[in-house]
Amino acid sequence: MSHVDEGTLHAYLDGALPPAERSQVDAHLASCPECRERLAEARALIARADALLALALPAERAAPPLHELRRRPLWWRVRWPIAWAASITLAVGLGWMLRGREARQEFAAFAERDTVPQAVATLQRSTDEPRPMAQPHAPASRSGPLHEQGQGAAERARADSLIPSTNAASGVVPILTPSIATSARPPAVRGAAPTPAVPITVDGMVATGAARVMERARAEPVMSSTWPVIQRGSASRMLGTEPATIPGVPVKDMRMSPYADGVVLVEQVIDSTLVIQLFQRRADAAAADSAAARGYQFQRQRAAERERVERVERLARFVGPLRVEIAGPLGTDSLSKLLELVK
Amino acid sequence: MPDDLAEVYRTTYHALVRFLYRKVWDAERAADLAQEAFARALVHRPANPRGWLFVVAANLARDEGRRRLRERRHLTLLKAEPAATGEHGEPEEAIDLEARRARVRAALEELTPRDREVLLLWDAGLPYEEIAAQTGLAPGAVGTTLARARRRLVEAYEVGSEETHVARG
Repeated sequence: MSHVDEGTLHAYLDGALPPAERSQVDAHLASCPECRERLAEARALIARADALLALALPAERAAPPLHELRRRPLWWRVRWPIAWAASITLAVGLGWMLRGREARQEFAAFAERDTVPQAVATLQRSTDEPRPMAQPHAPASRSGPLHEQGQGAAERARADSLIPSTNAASGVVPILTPSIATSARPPAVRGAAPTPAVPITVDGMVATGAARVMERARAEPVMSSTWPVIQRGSASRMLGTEPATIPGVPVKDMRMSPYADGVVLVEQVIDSTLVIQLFQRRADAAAADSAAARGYQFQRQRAAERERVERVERLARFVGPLRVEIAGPLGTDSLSKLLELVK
Repeated sequence: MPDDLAEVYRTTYHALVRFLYRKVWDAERAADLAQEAFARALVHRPANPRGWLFVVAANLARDEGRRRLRERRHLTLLKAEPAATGEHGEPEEAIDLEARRARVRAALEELTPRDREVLLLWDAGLPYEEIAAQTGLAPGAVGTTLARARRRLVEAYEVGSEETHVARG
């Protein structure tokens, strides 16, 4: 072996050489005093450079808790001065985490009459991250394989979900079972949705797979569609107060527990990639230990085991007289941030 | 890939602040930008959070640099008179430390942008492969680049020190 060049010596000392190359260098060093001397020089140089860099350290202060970051004034200052932008962005961001599920939804109607998705698109345009996440509202100017895959996925999701719904005007939509969803798939006409209604093919649980359609095959709905949809008035009666919601976010539907334990589920949509579930009950009711609670906990645990990569976490909080539990396969920090918004 | 941003935050936050500090040279601003980068990561949930964070942080620092340049032009006009605040009262040790920090900064700025970036990324704890991915270098070239960056840093620092001593003497 010829002499070891300086770059290799530095990589050797930095522990960055692959094992095979490393043993070659070892073998050479054992027999070459010249290279051993250069190795010592390299070691001294690294130590000296590290020492210099250590002179240029900021005073170390404790990191704020991760979930505090959202509220920092900088966030508003830097780019997005509109106050509500951060909360929407947060929620939408959470949506990108949601893995594909059997649930699929079309939000064309929201896009037409609400400003939220438009705002999201605007926000997306204003960011300059190097690796844009694929999502259906992204501006077309972005390119790259990931994005194209996302567009394709979005179109497939639309194709899957253009199913007319009858009573969307009331703000409460029916739940179609997967069998209906798969048997009725009219071809999608992109940009010209045939119906202004909110077609839904949700089978109970959080989210669409628009951005992550590849994972849909192995994803399972966390909860079955056995929870009947109810009107807001019924929900209020069950809870004895208005249901807790995340303000400013459209309510997709409200449902009641099939176990007669007084648990109400509010599902809210923020973007085509995000549905948040809020399980709630009277704080004084003992529903936590009910069969229902165990039932859907068990289902979630099973789903989490199957999905392995994802963690299914739940967090609860008392909002007025209600105990509200937020659900989604998100990190604790993300869910708790969203839960803070619940009113 | 496990999506545990909280863990990345715990292990990488201070390294990111350090990385940013050597670009903006303001501890508070560096912390702000690091937190901004993490706030964006919370939104975007990148697959490789650590590498992503450093790319975003580098972009933020670059924007910050441009903004500061504009502001500084402004400030030069305002600060036409010499500042009244003196250095009295500062312990000599602090002055010395500050002077050495300034020399390190000057030495770092002597490096080529790529050499500097590779050195700062390494010092922030990124492995060779990630440094290569971020800077566009071939993985095999990171060691050579680092060797050169280290040597130039040390040389520039020592030249700077000599000049200071000559000026004092």
